[in-house]
Amino acid sequence: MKIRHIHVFFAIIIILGGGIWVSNELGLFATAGRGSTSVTGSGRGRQVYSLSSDASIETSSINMNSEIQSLDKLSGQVHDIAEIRGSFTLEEVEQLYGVPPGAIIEGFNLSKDTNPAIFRLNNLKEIYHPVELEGEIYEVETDTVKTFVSLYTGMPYISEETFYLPKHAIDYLINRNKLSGEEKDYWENHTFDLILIKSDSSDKFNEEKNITDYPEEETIKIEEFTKNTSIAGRTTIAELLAMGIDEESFKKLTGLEIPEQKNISVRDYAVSNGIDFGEIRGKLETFLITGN
Amino acid sequence: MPIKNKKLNWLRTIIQIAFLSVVILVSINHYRVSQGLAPLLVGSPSFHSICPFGGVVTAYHYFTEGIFIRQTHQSSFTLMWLVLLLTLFFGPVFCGWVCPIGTVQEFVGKIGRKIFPKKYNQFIPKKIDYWLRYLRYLVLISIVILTAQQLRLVFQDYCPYFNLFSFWSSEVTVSAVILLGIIFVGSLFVERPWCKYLCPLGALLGIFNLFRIIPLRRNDEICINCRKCDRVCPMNIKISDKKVIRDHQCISCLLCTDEASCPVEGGMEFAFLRNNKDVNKDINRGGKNEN
Repeated sequence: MKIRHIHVFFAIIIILGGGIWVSNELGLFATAGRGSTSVTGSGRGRQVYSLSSDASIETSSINMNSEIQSLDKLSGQVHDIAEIRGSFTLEEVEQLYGVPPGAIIEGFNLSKDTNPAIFRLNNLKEIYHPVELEGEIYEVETDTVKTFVSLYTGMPYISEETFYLPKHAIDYLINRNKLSGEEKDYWENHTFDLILIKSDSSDKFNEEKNITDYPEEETIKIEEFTKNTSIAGRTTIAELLAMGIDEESFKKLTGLEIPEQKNISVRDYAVSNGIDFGEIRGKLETFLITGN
Repeated sequence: MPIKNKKLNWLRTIIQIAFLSVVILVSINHYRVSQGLAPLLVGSPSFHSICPFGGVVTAYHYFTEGIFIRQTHQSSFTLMWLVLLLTLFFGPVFCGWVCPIGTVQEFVGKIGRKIFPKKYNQFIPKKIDYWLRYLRYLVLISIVILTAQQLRLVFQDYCPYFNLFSFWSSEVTVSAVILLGIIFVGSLFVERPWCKYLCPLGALLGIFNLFRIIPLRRNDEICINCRKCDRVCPMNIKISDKKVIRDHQCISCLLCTDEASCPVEGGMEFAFLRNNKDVNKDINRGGKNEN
């Protein structure tokens, strides 16, 4: 039998087109991940997510908030957490998955001035140091946010690499009753502290501040600065003193007296006295690390 | 024997443009969704979910662990099987008719053919070209092993398909831009450089040429040795000295057949359970060579 171009033409349409249609009807053409977020906990405590027993959780049964449902009406499909990309801004995560920017800002201890329209998930890597846990290097990156979004929304996501989350994130989820008992047991024991790479590394995402409808942002607390030696533009004189710099050392390093109003930020105080913040920040950080 | 005029390979072009259009539309939809707009017509599935190679790289993990690696889905796994089925019968028609990267290279190559009408696709010395063509197997093996080890799409940062159609996003890497540049510039000199030398999916599908059910056959009894088939083959396969084409580089574009370029009816055809005697009998009966 001679096979002509027309035969190949129809073979492609039938095998590929028909195959996709049939497999779609049989549920074998999911373009999004399926699974469950149920915590199983293996012997090593590394296997966090597993496929559910029937491996076929229907998206309709997933408890999603109204924002996601309204988005589904718009796009006609459920957004898969696996499709969250590093290029997504916090605003996009809110639009597609219904997680308020304030939740991520607080959960990942970002600056309260972080602009949700500018900050992208892959910027997290620029802000926080990788940490070593169980012999593996963990970066705070897009997959960390995916896991956070999964726990926040209850939408399924199987992570192959995130078995630890920042303590801030877990505390945030627990405080808002986002974790079931089993999940809480697991995640409370799988946290790490966020370590800033550079004190002002998140400041560049603050420009064009445009905070409108992010109520959860109001609850953000800045507290990590008492735990490390990083000084950001928003660090106050009071926080600086709490870090361990005494009045005399401050005067020696900056040439300035400690002001009466200690809630003023170090940057504002320096600038108001005609001193470049970058200059004194380095000296203060060195002092905190070395004592000199 | 009837001598035919060259015909246009327009059916292949229709399929190529159709699949390329779908992928471009998906790319546009990704952008629309990122802007909070509704996707048009085909939704906004990830590029990995509509690429059969995603199924190839996740196969090991699927068979051993029962789950797909990150960013791969059931759809790419299903697509892989459909493409393999198609390839088992017709050879790598996916490469020659469907693959959008192949199509883009081919379109760029048309410019190159105009710039270098005689020298086009003949720039690389044959000995070097011969060995370079095995490079894609090395790429395939490396990607499959690294993906199985690292449980992520290690190829994503270089994949020309993913990066070309995600060009607007910040996910495009410098390495991918450089590779795409090399492919596009290379396409001006060499036909389908990516397919020939580096494509891991093409490497896998190319193996099927060795045992595909419907091979390309050349009837040496009526062949007039014009070597037009050699000249039109985008993959530089020397067809004129073979009876059955089982070259691992064949992409089943069918440009060499008597429907497209071979001037002798029955001289070069895509045939199933048919030998030269059958063809000759048909021709002697009046040139009707259809079964």
